[in-house]
Amino acid sequence: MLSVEMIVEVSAMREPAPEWDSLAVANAMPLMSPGWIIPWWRHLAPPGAEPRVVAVRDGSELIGLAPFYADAYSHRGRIDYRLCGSWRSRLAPLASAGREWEVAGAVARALATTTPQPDVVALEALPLSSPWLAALRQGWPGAIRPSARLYLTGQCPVVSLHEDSFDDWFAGRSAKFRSSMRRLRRRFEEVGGQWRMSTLTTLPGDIATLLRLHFARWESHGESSLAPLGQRLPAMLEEAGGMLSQQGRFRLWVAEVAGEPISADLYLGAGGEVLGFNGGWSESWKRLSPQLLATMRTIEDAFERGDRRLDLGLGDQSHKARFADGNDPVGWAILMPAGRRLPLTAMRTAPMLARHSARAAAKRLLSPGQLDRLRGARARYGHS
Amino acid sequence: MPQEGAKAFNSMPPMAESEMIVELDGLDRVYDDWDELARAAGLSQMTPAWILAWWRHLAPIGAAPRVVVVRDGAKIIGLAPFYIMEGQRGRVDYRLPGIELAARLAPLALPGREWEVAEAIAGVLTEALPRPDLVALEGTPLASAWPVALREGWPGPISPILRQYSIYGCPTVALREKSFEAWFAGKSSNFRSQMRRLQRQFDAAGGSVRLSTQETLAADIDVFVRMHASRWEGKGKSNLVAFGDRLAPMLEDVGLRLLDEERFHLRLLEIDGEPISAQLFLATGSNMLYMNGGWYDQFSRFKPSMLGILGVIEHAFGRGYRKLDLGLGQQAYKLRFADGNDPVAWNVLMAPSRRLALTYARMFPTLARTHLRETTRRALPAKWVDRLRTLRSRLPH
Repeated sequence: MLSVEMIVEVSAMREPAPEWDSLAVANAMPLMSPGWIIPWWRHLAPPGAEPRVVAVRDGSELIGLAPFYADAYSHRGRIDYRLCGSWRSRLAPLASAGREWEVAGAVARALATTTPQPDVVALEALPLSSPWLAALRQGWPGAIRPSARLYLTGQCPVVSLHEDSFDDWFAGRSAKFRSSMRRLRRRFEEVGGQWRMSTLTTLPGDIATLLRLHFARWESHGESSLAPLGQRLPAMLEEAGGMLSQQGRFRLWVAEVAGEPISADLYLGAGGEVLGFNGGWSESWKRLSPQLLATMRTIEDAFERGDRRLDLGLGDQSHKARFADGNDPVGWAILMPAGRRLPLTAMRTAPMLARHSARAAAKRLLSPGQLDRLRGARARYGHS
Repeated sequence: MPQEGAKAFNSMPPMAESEMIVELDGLDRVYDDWDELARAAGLSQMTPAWILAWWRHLAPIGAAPRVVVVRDGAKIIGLAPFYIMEGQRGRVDYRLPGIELAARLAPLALPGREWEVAEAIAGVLTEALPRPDLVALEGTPLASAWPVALREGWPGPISPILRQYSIYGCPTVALREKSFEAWFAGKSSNFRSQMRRLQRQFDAAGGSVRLSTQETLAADIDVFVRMHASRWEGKGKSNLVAFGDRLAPMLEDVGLRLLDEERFHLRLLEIDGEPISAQLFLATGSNMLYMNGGWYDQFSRFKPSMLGILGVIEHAFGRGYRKLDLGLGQQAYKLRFADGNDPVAWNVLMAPSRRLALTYARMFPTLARTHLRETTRRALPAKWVDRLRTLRSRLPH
């Protein structure tokens, strides 16, 4: 028989952490590990957020965990349940292999009866090849299933690492790619470039470097989604780094020339999956294409550790496409449970859904050039 | 994050190229690559051996192949073996073959390239003749992105309407332990003692097990078909029985192709040389699939379906398979073995066109019926739902 526990206190989230982490590793979901989510709670959770972490057990074994939080303040009284760690990258409930359906039913029943009652269950950056959206909808108790809307999808280029070694993988790339990369590496070595991975000792300084380089890159491009997090972000990253780096799962790569950092890139690992979180590089070293070099270094390291896949994160930017041999998209979806408040919820959600529909229609209707002009106009209008 | 200047490299990979094969003869030249894709996806019902046999023996009159092949350079990276039937009052449906036999049908792609392949397939479908009004993805693994990927990849200013209207569970057995013995030891003591008892009773009655060979194939398939039909007598409608005399030659066709590769596993339980049960399993990639089976009622005390599944699990461990899919339906004997569920879903994509309103109107009764069924199942106690089912089965068809 399955038993369900709803964890509503942050302090209680640590209790199942070892088993929870095993599930994150088994699901190869780096952002869903307690070593990432607990620091997120402590530093970045939105004001007023209340944990609603559903732990599902079969006997004493933890077979599923859905770390939701209730947010009653962001949408004028609409009560949203979201997965902790609202990054734009691969979030999902966790379950033992093959038991997602069973776990989803238990999670849905727990959410349907908890307080405050959810108006919206948001599944953001959910892997599209996962069954969670349909499973939660199907498992929701009551005569009427929740209404489900998948309103946005995003590409996530991936690099499969199924070759025996980095050399084999590299040999399988195009001649043009190989010669470009060799040239970049030669240039990097010629200027005395060196790589190092952050350690517990260097962590605070390296995180500061990462964020400095990251925000510098964004200065002329608008605002990074990390900017609003302010000083809370380095504190969160430091705590997560402290919990994960000794297991080799918090990989902050710093490239230096003559002791000066020229790029810093953060990757997270779990169960053979490596996920690119974010990075930054110095404009003055653009000629070395630090981003490409960092990706190469990460792939080499991932082969050494026996990882199976590198997820380059949301967005199909050109530097990612150079490495990617696949795409594993994520989607943004909401479930709106039936109830007296459903019409109001639907009304409050309609503008957001309409905005995304309009954006999708524009993407389909307009040429890339027209889209770029539209984006430019929107950015100017938005900033004025 | 801002994009790095793309000047130094021509970043985007070349677009996938695609073609549509409309003649069965044209499929032989892609056989090996197609089989590779099916192995990579672990989908037994999507192998060329299975689907071409379906075409030769079971395809409905008027069906015509519309197989989309997607290439990256010379390499085939995706394949969607659709067929068309000009169906209800001129509506053109594109479907994947074989849903009458078993679920878990899907287009095929190299792992990680599904999205790219879906875009290419959608591009070909919009140019195809006749143009699809509806693309049916029936019995598609729920944990796959195909329906959404085809919708997103559909060219043109308006995306197709996507409706998922049914979901069914498929119990699965994960074979992650080091050996059959380790797996068996991990089951409940009740299960272990029951299975040991059944095995002892079967042995004591002179029971033996054998797998079909090239020599015994035809006769064994006859036994399988006969037993399956006898199991269904007076119990309603079996899709397999409905194929009549065409089913045995189809299975024989598949068997002749896959037996030597140990991918066609017809398991017979016999007592004193007389078959008491026959179960068909297919293997592809790292998965085994339970297709169907039958047994004679007078031997039901041995629970032949359970003994057969236990035997195939032992076989699967020996061959290094990672998962046994027990097929559509959550019957009690399957649930004794299952430790997971990998459901399949029925989806339709209704293509944007002048005929969309008509297509939707024609699809509406199916959508409404399944919605009503689902609501009934949710709203009523299980006992009432059973009574309703019984009442419905008594009504004249």
